Amino acid sequence: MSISIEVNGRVRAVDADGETPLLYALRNDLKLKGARFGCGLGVCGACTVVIEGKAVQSCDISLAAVAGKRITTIEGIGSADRLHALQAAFLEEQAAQCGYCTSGIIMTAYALLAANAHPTEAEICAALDGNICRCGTHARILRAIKKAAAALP
Amino acid sequence: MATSITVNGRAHSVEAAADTSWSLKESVRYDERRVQTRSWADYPILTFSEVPAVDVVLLNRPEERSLGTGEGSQGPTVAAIANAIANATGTRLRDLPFTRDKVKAALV
Repeated sequence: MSISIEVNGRVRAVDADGETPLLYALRNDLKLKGARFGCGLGVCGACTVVIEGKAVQSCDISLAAVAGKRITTIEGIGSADRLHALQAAFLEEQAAQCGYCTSGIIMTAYALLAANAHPTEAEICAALDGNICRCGTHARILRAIKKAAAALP
Repeated sequence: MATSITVNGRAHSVEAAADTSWSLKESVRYDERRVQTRSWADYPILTFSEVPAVDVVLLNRPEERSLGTGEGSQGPTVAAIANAIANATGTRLRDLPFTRDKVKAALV
């Protein structure tokens, strides 16, 4: 069956069962590979996307549940020649080692900054406590998010 | 330390908090038959709220030959935390991770 979802401002039809995790539709059907499969249980944050302004783990939510909702993925916030402030700051701070968690962390930060343009460090940490970074790059990630918050209008 | 070639990457590998994470938190649980830890949901790992501030000072010594520095901070970090616990309590822990329960048990 075909399900319509709105991804990065475009309505897309996905030919998949309604119980399919959103992450699978994004990666396999729409070829948006920014969101990553980490745990498949909604506990590591690698698959985070923004749905109606909220950071959501896309491995753990069904296509049926997001039909008609506004979904933003890392591909929707900037491009290689027009980087979002978060993407630019992550590059400037070199805030990744293996990089597997990075797009999920940027999307969590994107939702945070949309709701709270000037978060304290404690607020950033609280927002990111559902995102795991195995390499331990936390300090650089925090610096990058603070830099992006300062750069955004 | 020797010549610093990729200075930023080198600082990065030193400031990474993975060593703190496994010194204080990380372990896979077993029972007599099998592994009990099944996912990130029940594997303890450092969160953003728990990460300490780290200052990195690189000593550039161009007269020395270059060496790899990947994960170079990991042994010393575990040792520094173990030494701090020994210094504070007089008890030397030798079994990672140094969890709250293990420190308390060692003090009795």
